[in-house]
Amino acid sequence: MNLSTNPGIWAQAICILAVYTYLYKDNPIWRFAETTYLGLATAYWFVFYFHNYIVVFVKDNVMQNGEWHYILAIILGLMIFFRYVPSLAWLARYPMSFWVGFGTGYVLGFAPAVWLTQVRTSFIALNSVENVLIVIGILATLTYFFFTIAKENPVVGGIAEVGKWYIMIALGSAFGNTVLYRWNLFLSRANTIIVDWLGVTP
Amino acid sequence: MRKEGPMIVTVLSSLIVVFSAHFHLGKQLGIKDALDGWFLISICIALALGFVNLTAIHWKAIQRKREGWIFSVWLMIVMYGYAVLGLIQSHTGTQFNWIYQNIQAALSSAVFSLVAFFISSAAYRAFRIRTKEATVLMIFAVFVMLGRAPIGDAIWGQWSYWVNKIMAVPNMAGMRGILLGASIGAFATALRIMLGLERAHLGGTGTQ
Repeated sequence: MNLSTNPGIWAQAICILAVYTYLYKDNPIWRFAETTYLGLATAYWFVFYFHNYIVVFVKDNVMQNGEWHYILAIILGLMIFFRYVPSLAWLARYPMSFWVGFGTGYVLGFAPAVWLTQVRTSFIALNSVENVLIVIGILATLTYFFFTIAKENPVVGGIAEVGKWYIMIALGSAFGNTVLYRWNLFLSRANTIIVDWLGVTP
Repeated sequence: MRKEGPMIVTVLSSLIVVFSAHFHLGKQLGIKDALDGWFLISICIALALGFVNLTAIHWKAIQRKREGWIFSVWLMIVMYGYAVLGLIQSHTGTQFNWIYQNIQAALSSAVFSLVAFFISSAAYRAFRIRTKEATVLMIFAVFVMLGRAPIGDAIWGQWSYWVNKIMAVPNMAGMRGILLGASIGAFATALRIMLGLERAHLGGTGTQ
């Protein structure tokens, strides 16, 4: 065992152990770690966006290029804070409406190019068992999601039933991958404690 | 203008994005680039809302001396201290980055890895063999987990081969079906918003 002398590794080890105390039960050490994380994360993203976007936009686009209309965008963003003034809270709807409208336009204008590619690539030659299974799976899954067709019809109901099993396999695989990813994260943290901090080498 | 104004903003901004995506004139005028900038800068400012909200909630907790108020004090010290340090040093500053790499990143990955313990027990409770569907879901989850780890191939040499087949055939077909279903749903919802039929984002009762 060769205990680390690096203050950064010590800080990491203390943070990791503080978080894992929650496995026993809710306790003050965990609450301390939780609030530290919340405070740091909130401040980090605030600083990150402030320096990377707001300062850059104001410096480059507004001051240098003279694109003064971005000042209106800043005012629009600030309008969300009217939520805290009850008599003027309705003004906060304007930025929200802009964001929703912008996102809506994106979904209508640009997203189809992504999912229509998925449709196009689903038209594959039925020259192997795998390809046949893929096409059957896609059609059956889509049938399962057609809520406007009565599933009492034996043909539609049967196809939707096949779709349901495909969905179960897909969700099971996705779930397995998710669990494994979390365990990988845990192993990586354990590595920090055992190898980097305690200096125990295998 | 309390409802109509925002509705007009929604419709206009969505129409401009669609217009600039599909029409030559829209692309030439560069309206979308400007609108992208508007979106980015306004959303960045609104991100400070989280900052303000946390302050409001924890300030109340401190004032009323609610249970665990001392943690609220700690949160405020950490949040404002780190923000001030970042504003002075910028996000590339030495101390700011040290705290990020050795404290925030460590806490973040530890919190996410904590889920590993709970997701496993929750999965057992949720999917234990009650129905045929749950059984299939659980079997495939375990099969994929073992196949993705070295232990799978150590048990049976063909394990990762069959996991790859499962991922490439039934999983891909099922996921694509789900994705297409969700995309069509999103498209329909977007159309409803643009036509003014969906107004949940304006608050109130939601749909017309």
